[in-house]
Amino acid sequence: MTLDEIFEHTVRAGWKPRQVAVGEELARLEVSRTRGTCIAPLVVDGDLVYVDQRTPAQDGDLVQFALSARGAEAQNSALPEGQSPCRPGDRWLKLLVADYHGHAMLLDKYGNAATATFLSCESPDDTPVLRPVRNIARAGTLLYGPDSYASGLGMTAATVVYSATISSATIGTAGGAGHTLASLTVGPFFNATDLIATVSGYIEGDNTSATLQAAAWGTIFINTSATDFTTNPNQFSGGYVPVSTIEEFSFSCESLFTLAANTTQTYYVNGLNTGGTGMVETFTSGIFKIEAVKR
Amino acid sequence: VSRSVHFYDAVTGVFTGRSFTVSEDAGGMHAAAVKANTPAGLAAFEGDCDPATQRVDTASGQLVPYQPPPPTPEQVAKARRRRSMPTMAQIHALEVSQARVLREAVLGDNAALQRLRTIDEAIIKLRSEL
Repeated sequence: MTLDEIFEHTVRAGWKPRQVAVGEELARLEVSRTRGTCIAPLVVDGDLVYVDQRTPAQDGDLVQFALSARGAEAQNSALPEGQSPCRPGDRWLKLLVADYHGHAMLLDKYGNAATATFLSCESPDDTPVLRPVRNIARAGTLLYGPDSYASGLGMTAATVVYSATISSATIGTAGGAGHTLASLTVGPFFNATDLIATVSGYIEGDNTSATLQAAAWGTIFINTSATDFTTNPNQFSGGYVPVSTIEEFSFSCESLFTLAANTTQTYYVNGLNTGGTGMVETFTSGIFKIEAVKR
Repeated sequence: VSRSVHFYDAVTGVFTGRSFTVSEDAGGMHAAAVKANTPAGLAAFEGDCDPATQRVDTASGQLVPYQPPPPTPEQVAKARRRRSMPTMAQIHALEVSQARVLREAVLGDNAALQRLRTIDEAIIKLRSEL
């Protein structure tokens, strides 16, 4: 998802504060009246925002920060007619994407994006001070009550992680049937989710024959059937294996899936040995992980 | 933060070496996720355990000491081959290195013959360690 799509997606998915503040807790939060429409409809002109100055912001938060001098200079360099210039130190609100290709990005509804360090720090080496919005009052009414719930992680991060470890599982003998090495049953979730399935571990090849084994060893598949040895192939090769020798190498592969809302699906890691006669292959010290990411 | 379970044989209580983990974000789904991911014939144990020295007493659900069975002859042989992997790698490297010395020896370089003998002696020594 590109940066200019994320804001729109966030609005459509129904943004809420990660941890809604109500009642007595509101008293310890900093209150600011907002101007402008750059993050509407999440916050509109005249809203009161309750900002938690004691909690660091996380991915997906609306964050408040003090505008840096260089951020103000950039903003004022192409100021629309009639708009007042920005000043360093002004409090700004943006949507935080904590890790976008390694950078913390601040977004608005116009598709503008800048790094958090640029907008809130005077030097790229500084650490941005970003504080989360914990509630919003509009026309005298709090928008979020105690029953409001948002996922513990933002939209660009995994919301739920499943993993299975495998100490040892046979991939099989050359020419023989394939085997299921691991499986994970995932869901249901309230939202449709993207799933990132990753397998990593070691593949061991034991040459029990009297001839040198060729480099092509076999294939790992990640799919939705324990007997599917064709979909999503990831071929692996551990090099030539001399007679009566065990070779071992690390292996990892990844496949992507989507899961409809309120459904459950089992995903399998299947292995097929395509080495020469006498080659016995085993998957060891492995982990099968599925990260479910809210769409 | 996540929660993990280790799977054991529901009859013998011996751990299988497999485990399942789900992040706390699953919230109330945790129990259902464990149930859905427990393979047939196995049961889930939540908590720290050492599968090499402990098993589950299936009557009480508590950990008890466990002595694994001795390795089979096949496992012993395989372990020996695994231990020989570094030695085999050294032999392979020496054999690869002899190609140039062979060429030099064939072309009449007398010093290359001595280098060949040195390589051969090193390989013989390594073979004795297998």
